[in-house]
Order: sequence, then C-alpha cells, then structure tokens
Amino acid sequence: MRVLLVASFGGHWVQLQRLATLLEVEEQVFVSTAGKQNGGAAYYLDDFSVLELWRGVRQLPRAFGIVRRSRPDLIISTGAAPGLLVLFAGFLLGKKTLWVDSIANCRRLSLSGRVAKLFASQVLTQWPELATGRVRYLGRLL
Amino acid sequence: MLFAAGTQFSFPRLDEAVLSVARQRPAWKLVYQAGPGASLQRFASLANLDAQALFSASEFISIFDNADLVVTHAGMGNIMACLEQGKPFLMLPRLARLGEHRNDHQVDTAEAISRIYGVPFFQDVEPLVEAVLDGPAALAPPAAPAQRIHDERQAFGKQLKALIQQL
Repeated sequence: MRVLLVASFGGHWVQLQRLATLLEVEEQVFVSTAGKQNGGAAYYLDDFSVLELWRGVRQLPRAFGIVRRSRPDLIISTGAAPGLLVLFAGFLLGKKTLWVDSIANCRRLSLSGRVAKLFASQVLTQWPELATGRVRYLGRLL
Repeated sequence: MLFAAGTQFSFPRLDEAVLSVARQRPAWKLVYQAGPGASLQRFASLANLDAQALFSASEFISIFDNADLVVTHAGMGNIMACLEQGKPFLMLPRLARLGEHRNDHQVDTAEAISRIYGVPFFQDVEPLVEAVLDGPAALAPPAAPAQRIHDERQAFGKQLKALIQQL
C-alpha cells in the first residue's frame, strides 16, 4: 500500500511524523509547507488558512498534480488547510481519504476537520468526547 | 533557557516575558525564537539573549536539546517534543481576543495538557515571569510521560491499522 501523508509545517507536521511511524505500509510519500525550514517532504504547497479560500483554490491544480504523480492508495492528513486541499483533490480523483484532527482541538473539531466531514472516507478526532456518528475516536498521539 | 513563540505569528506578550526575565537574570543564557514578524531590535541590547525570528530546524533542535527549561506558546509541536523528551516546560497560550491567534484553541490545549500531564500554564505574563525567575530547579519535569505516550500510541496504531484495512 502506498500512502500520501500531508500536513502543514509545525505541530501538524510533528503529529503526521508520529502517526507515520504507527503505520505498517510499503511506501509513505510526504507533502508539507515551508520548504525552506522543512526538508522532510517530497512535495510542497504554500501555507494558507482555511478562511483564505482563494489561496487554496489557486493551489488546487498543484494538489491534483501531487495526487496524480504519487498515485496513493490512501491519503492521510493531520491538518491544516493545505492538507484539506490535498484530501479534497484525492476525493475528486476517487482516492480513499482519512482526516486525523489535531490533538490541539480538544473542545471542538477544527474548521478544516468539519469541512473534511463532508467528503473524507473517515474523520478521526483525538478526543473521545468529540466523537459523533461521522467522527470516530480510535486513540491519540499523546 | 528557550522561549518559543511558534513559527506562524509574532507573540508580543511572550516578547515582554523574555525581556523581563533577561533583565532580571543577567547571568542566565536565554534563547528566543520570536516568530515571523517580531521586531528583533528590542532584544539587541541584551547580552544574555539570543533572539531570532526563526532558527533553522537543526539549530532549533540543538537549542532545544540543550535547554534546561522551555517556555512556549501552547503549540502542539513544542508540547509534543517537551513531553516526549521529559523536558520541563511552561505554556503561555495565545489568545484570540489579543489577536495572537485565529481562535482560542491554545487555551483548550494548555488546559488539557495541564490536566493530563500536570504541566503549568499561564494566562498572563506576570505570573509566568515569576515562575520562570524561580528557575528550572523549582519545576518538576512532566510526570513520567514517556511510558504513557508509548502506550497511547501503540493502542492508537493498532486501531489505525485495522481502520485502514477496512476503508
């Protein structure tokens, strides 16, 4: 199985790295932001907030390109908005998608996570009290 | 002693805390990652303080490893690193009403981490500075987090693998 793993630089990226060590898959391809500080990924997107819709839409072709070139069986993101964008591109291309909401969101699912609920194959929270029918809790990184 | 404002925005209240500690403890060596957009000239006159907007990843890791105490915004990257390495740390969550972040999730994070791992967090600069001035020796490292983190992750990993087979 080939998995495309996507997260913004910072806490989302740290969580993605830890999550990746828990998976037993043949191939992991990483996507991130902030290429200058963060040399660990195969592909990069510009960082943006989920509220800056136009900056996201502008990068949709790049997100499609990343999904097409990496040909993943599954796409996983721990956030934030750039991860949502790649997940959405994957959804449009018929890929399986998994959103793991950041452990930072312990009172309410992130806005990106709430959008991911609309199309992702599965959305996970890292806080049991936030689990609902569509959002599952399977454990946490801390 | 490392102060870390995160990599996204500047954090003026943490600037104040750093300046206050640097002036009151001239013998301590302080390092401050102030975040993009921070005005660094305020820190230039203090000989015991090395402040930069962003250190390179490798520099930051080396500073982090050598720190006796980390004072950080309540960002998950630094919190995870501190807990994983059993590093004593304090948190100053960013507040939305002061324009420090888009929302108040850092307060929620700080409360949750404090509840689970017993790490102190502060809503204001003054009590934070007082706690820092007492020195790292006054702070216990987080209570044996390594085993707990290992167990949480093993259990999560098992469930994740099962989920991925089903998707």
